[in-house]
Amino acid sequence: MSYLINLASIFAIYAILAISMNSITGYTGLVTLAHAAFYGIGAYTTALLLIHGGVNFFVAMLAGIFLAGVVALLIGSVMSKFRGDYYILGSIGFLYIINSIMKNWDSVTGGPLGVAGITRPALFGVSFAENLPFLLLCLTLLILVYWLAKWIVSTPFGRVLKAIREDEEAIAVFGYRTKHFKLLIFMIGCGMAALAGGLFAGYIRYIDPSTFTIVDSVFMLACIIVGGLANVRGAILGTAILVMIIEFSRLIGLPADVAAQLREVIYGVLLIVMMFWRPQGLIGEYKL
Amino acid sequence: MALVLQLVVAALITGAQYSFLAMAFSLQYSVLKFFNLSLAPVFMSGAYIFIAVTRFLKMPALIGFCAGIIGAALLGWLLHICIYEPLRKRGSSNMTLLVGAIGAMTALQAFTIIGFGSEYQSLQPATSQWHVFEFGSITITSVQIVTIAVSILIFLSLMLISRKTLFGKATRAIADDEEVAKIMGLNTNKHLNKVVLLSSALAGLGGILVGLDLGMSPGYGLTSIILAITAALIGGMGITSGAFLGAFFLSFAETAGVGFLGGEWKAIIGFSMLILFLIFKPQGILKQ
Repeated sequence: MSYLINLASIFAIYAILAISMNSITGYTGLVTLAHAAFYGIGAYTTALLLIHGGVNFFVAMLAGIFLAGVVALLIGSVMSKFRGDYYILGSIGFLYIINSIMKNWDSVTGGPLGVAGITRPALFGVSFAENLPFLLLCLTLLILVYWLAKWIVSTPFGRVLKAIREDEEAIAVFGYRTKHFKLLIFMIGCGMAALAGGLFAGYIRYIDPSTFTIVDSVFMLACIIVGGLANVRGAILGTAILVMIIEFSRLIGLPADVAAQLREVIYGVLLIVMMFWRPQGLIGEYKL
Repeated sequence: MALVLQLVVAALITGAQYSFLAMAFSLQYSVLKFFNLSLAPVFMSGAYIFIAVTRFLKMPALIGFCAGIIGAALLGWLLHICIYEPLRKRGSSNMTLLVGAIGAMTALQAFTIIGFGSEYQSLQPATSQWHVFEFGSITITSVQIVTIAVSILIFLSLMLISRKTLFGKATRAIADDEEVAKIMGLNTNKHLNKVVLLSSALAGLGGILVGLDLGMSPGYGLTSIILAITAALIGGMGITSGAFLGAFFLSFAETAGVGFLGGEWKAIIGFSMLILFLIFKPQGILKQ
């Protein structure tokens, strides 16, 4: 039972990440690999405020979302100028810069050793210290994020995003300032990723820079490409499939380090296979 | 003064080390027109095949050297005919090719870790030390001198090939317009294969030479390819001579930055150059 709870919690955190990336990559057509950086900003802010600031977990998490939003505003206003391939390239550059700061700013982030001893929260007398209540917290937030993402894409704002994806010049002719739209969805998506980061820090109780690298961004990309681009349910489906694959590779009894690498081989191969077979994903609505 | 001279020599060595992958990437980009991130594992494969042949098979270094270059060429070519050529035939977008390349890179990097472990490995034979030359305050090893010499030699021969031979003319014709080159009776697919073989061999050679000086670890590949793309971008995408100059421009900027900020921020300086050039001079320093 505790095994299933663990699995479901990890799934919920990854699903939030996949939904947030899907709103940037799937709906707006901006393929970003910087997502792990914002996931990390959320996790670090939550953990550091909690340990050094003695702030309430939820306040710390909100601060993480806010900080990620501010950083996303700065990075996004630069990235909104790039298109297509160059967008990905720029996002990789920013991911490396932020990861490098996590690794090298020892006095604040703890350097490569990371931050340990993160405590689980309590709210209105309900403690989330046990795994089951924490899972319920993760699932509640997942549902919130799910509805938020659904709502965003159903609004006129969401329709402009899809129009930008299909033909940015055409929609700009109608007087929409596409840069502002791209920037805003980037900030929203990155804020959601920071939320997932806060949950991750609370769940695992230990974070270090190696969790927020390009490999993690590629994992999120694999989730939404397998499940389906521009489909919120697709992001969840893709995450479920990939989390199952992770578990399967653990169950067949390989040594832990080989299994970890084997998973990466599987995401990589899945990405290639999807590009041949269904570039829009299983239930996706947009082809890269 | 002595310090400045030392830094200049250090920058020259680093620039030569960057130049191989930068030229390989630029050559490939000029005809294929997508960011082939899977040149990263091709680059590493040169070094790892060298390790396998010299250490595990106990063969002489020269055989390891040849095997590394041939192996890298074959790996790059296999990736091309198995993934990129069929995707291009289907008329896939650049983004699809790039996602395929990210998949291939992730999978191959994980394979490398399964085979060789994730830690840093030295390529230097355990029994011998590189000869160290001293000119006043400057010290430089034999491998570093060879690296600079080979880098310049390759640059000159690529220029000669591009200007004087039929192969070079055909490459430029495809770079200009693949459709027109095809209509003029050029077998473009066959020619692209040759370009991929040449550039992959060049990447493999770079991997060995860099590895002989600095060693190799699986994480090094992606950093190298991003820096190579940065160098190619600085020189102007797809201009091979530009990539060569860009590699030195990048290494001098990095060395200067490290002089001011300290060695741990080296990665940030390199990636900041990528972002700065993407924003202010995406056409590079050579292109009008």
